[in-house]
Order: sequence, then structure tokens, then C-alpha cells
Amino acid sequence: MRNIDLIRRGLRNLRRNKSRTILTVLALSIGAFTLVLTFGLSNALKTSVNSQLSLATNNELTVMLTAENKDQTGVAEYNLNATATKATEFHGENTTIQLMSKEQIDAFANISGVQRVWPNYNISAEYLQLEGDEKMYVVDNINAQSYSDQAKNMLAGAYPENWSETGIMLSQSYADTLSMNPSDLVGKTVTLGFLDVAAKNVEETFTIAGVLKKPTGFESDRSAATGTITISIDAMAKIYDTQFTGTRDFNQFSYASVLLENPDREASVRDAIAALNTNYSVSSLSDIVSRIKTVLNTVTYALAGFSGIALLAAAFGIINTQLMSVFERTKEIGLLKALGMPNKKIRNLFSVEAICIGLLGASVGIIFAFLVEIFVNNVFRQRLIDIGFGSHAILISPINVLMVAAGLGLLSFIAGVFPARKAQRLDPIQALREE
Amino acid sequence: MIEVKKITRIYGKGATAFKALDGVSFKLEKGANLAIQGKSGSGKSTLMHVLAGLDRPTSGSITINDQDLWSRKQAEIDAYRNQTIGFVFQDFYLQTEETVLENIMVPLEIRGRGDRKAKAYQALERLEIKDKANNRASNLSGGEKQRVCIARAIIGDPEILFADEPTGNLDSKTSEKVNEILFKLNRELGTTLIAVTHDEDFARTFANKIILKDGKVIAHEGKELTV
Repeated sequence: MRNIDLIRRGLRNLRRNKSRTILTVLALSIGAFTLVLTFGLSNALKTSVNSQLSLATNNELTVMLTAENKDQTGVAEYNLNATATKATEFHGENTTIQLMSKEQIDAFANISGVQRVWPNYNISAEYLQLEGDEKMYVVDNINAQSYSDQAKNMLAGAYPENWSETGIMLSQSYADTLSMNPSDLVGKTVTLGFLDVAAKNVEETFTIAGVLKKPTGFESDRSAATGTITISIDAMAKIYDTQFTGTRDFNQFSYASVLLENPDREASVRDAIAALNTNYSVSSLSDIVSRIKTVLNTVTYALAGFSGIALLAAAFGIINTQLMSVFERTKEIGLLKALGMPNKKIRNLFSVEAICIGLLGASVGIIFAFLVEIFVNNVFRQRLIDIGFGSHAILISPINVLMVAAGLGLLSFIAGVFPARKAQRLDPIQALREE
Repeated sequence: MIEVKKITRIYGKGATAFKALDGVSFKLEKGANLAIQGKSGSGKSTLMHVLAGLDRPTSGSITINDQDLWSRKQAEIDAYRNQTIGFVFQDFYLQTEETVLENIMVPLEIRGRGDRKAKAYQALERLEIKDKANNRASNLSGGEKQRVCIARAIIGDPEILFADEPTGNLDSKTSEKVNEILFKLNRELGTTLIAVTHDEDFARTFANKIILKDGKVIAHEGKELTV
């Protein structure tokens, strides 16, 4: 029998037992549906994580000096050398750190492969005033210049590659508050007011280089009413000196940032920092990325596992359906054999039917998954963008579809082996005599 | 030429063993017709199944056109069943939800032929039921079903046509018609016809006869038959 006739005959048999076939296919499609959706969800999450992180530079390290001995268990030993200790939550870990001196931080600059080193200047400003405007506005956050690509975040102006000490970037919230066109703000002068060490008001003048968009994605917890400015590291250092010279913790910092010449130097720079002091704790974006990916993969596999269990249950459905089919069609099998159909072809006929059930189940599941994808991505588009998902909450790839279809085909083939063998072994004479 | 030598078929083992055929031997010329008669349990159906490559004999040999049948490989026996012989079943064994055409094309489908319809219409024409080609098998009368069954048996141009009680389930008028068709095929196509029957009237129309009792040939007649 030609393969095409085998498939036609198999499909005809499935059509004859419509309700039974449909029920088995539905059982399978539930598993296929959840499996495809799980992969689609995981793809979308990975894509949005990647697109979020691509905004940040991956050649920046953060260095902290931990207070505890690394092998210490339980409560930490009192550390005489610690200038001060404090608990901090950094990248989700609670660590007791020692403040680092300026000298310790500057030592990183001598490591080969390091482009720039700067401490985190914990400065605050009192107000921001646009030239020619009488009102003064609160400054909630002062960010140091970023070395990541900010092009996507620009609302107006350009993010400077070489920051001048008088350059400043404003957040969109200021433009909104001032009811001004962001591009009109570029080039204007603002005055930043802050208190010096003696609590006396000091003013610095900056020129607006650009306006940054409202934060989205991972940073979106900052409300649109938050006033954020970005200035150069040098400007921060200058303000820091004005604000803190002479205080007890002057030039003591909780962490330092290390800019690499290129991302390939990460390992060697990490080693060099560890060689200076084993208590240095270095973290980078790659740590976070790998941690996020591990979590994502774990969740994906767990969900896929549940779908797998659903599919396993459905596989028993196939075995059941096909066994019933063999019993019902004993006479047909007997006739086909009596008319000269080889036993192997009989087995193939039942295998083809099982695989068809599997592929039908996969198709139905995949179609439903695509419908859900379209629905979720369209209905929740704006909310998704707001919470940083890109525009897709589900992203089903052709590879997922092929994998699930092939997997289900194989699963149903295996499930169909036992019934197919039963058909193969039927004795034609006895099969024909069956009442 | 069919040559049967000391065929024995035993079902079961030990104390419950049952000898369905007990040393049956005969020779039949090509193109002849033969009726195998006997009461139920005489072994006539078993003999036909053994001849048709459906039931392996316990001992003895069958030679078809100078070639031993049961020493062949399974694939060759399958091919023998599909190509050399045609089988008309007493209970028709039609797939009732399929059309007449689909039913009679099964042997060619198994053979792996693509162009089956022309041959199928030819067979239907021979049996004068061409107009029923697209009817479902379930909508046919008993006589029509038997004709479809015969059409299915001859669609592959067999050398030997086996018929198991072909008139057993039919009224006498329809029986006569089916009878006529079988002999016409035997005459016109030169197909060897072997039929199992316990219908005396039907058996009388055959040129050669074997009567079985308890698995043994107890009587025979016919020029083309040697026992």
C-alpha cells in the first residue's frame, strides 16, 4: 500500500469516529496549548529583559567592601578597621559593608583595563530654577552621567558623549511641569541650588543638554512627577566637596563604580580587584542578567513540566482510543490481511492514525495559543509597554511551534505503538470469524 | 495447476488437539472449477483457507503452478493472497460506511496501484452493478453485496477465485444469479474456481467435486481432478 493511501485510509478512520477523535485531540491540544504559551511567555520575557538591559552598559562594575570575612557564618565579628558599617540592600542581597576611602577607590584606576573609577557621590540639591522663570522646583534625584547608550531615552537634545562640567539633563517631568516643549529647553540655563557644609545656600549654573523620557521598564517605579536630573561625575564631585568637606565621613563611600575599557576585561579586572582585598565584592550587569535568566529558565521548565504532565495524561488517551479502534475494527483488519496487506503495513496504518491524532492535537493547541497571543498582545499593549514588556507579553516563535508539533507527533507515535502491535499480531482467520 | 499433498491441519495441542484436515491430497487442472462439499466441521473451510494462504497447514504441501506455497516468505504469501487469488467471503465483509467503489478497490490499494478507478468500473460492469458504484455498501441488498464482494475478488485479475458458501446467505433466485456469474467468470476469464458449499443444487453445477468428512476426502468426481 502506498503511503498516501495509508494516510488517506487512516484519516478516513479518524473521521468515522469523529467524537472520539475530537475528544482525544482536545485532550492533547490542552497540553500543546499550555506548552506553546509557556514558551511564548518565556520568549517575551527574555526579549524584554534583553531589550531593557541593552539600554544599560555592560562594561561597568560596582565594587563594595564587605565587612564580614567571607567564610564567616552567623553574626559577623567586630571589625576594628571598618570606619563604619551599615546594612545595605544591593541587587537583592543584604550585606554589611565597610565604607571605602577615596584612596582605596583610586587604587582601582591603576588596574589595567580600567577606563575610569568614581565613587557614588551621595549629594542632594535644594532646588532647580530655569533662567527667566521665577519658580523654583524640587530636585528628587541626582544621577551621575551614564556610560550606557541613552539614545532610546532621549526626548530632546542629545546625550553628550563627553560630558562638560556644566552639562545637565532634565527628566521629562520638568518639561511637563514647566509646560514647555522639551526641545525649547535644550540650550537654556538652569540654576541648581544646594546647601554647603555650613548649611549656606550655594548656586551652580548648568546648560541643558537634553531632556530624558519618562522612565519605563525596570525603572518605572519612579513616578512621572519625580524630578530627576543627570550631571557629570566631575560636577558631582565638585558639589560633594562643597557639601561634605570636613565632615566625619568625608571621602568615605559605600560603593564605587569601575568603567572597563571593554566588556572582555571583566574577568581580569575582577581578579585584580580581588587581589587588592578579598573582601571586595564585585557585581556587574552580567551577574544580574545571568540571575534573571536562571530564574526565567527555571520558571519556563517548571511550567513546561506541568504541560508535559498534561501531555502524558493525553498520551494514555491516545492508547485508549487506538485500542478501542483495534477492537472495533478487528474485522476490517482481518479483511485487509486476507486481501494481502502485510502485517507491517497494518501496524503502520495504526501508527499513522496515532500520529495524525497527535498532529491534530498540536495544531489545535497551537492555533489557540496564537489566538491568545494576539488577544493578550493587542488588548494589553499599552499596559505592557508601561510595565516594560516591550509590546509583547507572549512571543511564540516558529521553532516553538515546530518543536511542539514534532514532540507531539513523536509522543503519539510512541503511545500508538502498543495498539498498533496488537493490530499487527491479529490472526486474519480469527479476526474475520469475530462476531 | 494446484497440487495438494497430504495436508494436515491440527488445531490446539495435547488432549484438546483437533484434526481439521487429515492427509488431504488432490490435483486440480488450471482453469477448472471445483466444489468442496461436506457438513459443518468436515474441514471444508479449513481446506480453502489453507489453499488461499490464510491458514498455515500443520504438515503437507501445496504447490501452485509448480511453486510451493507455504515455504514462501511471508511477503510472498501476502503477495499471493493479493495478486494470485481472489476471495469471496460468505459474510461479504464489506466496509458498510464506505462506497461500493472504495470497497472493491481495496486489493489494488493494498497492491499499491494509483489508477484504480478504471479497473474498478470494469469489474463493476462485469457484475452489472456499475450504477451502484457510489452507493454506500450499507444501502445494498444481499445479492448486490455478494456481487460487490465478487467484484472485489476479481478486480486484481486473480488466477484462482475462492468462494466460501457464496450463496449461503442469499435467496434461491439471487443464488442462481450469483452462481451464473461465478461460472461465467470461470468460463470467460479462465479463472480457476474453488467453492465451498453444502448446497446440493449449487454443487451439482460444478464439473469437479470433493466431499470431505472429518478432514478426509471420502468421495470425489470430475475429469480435471485427480485424488
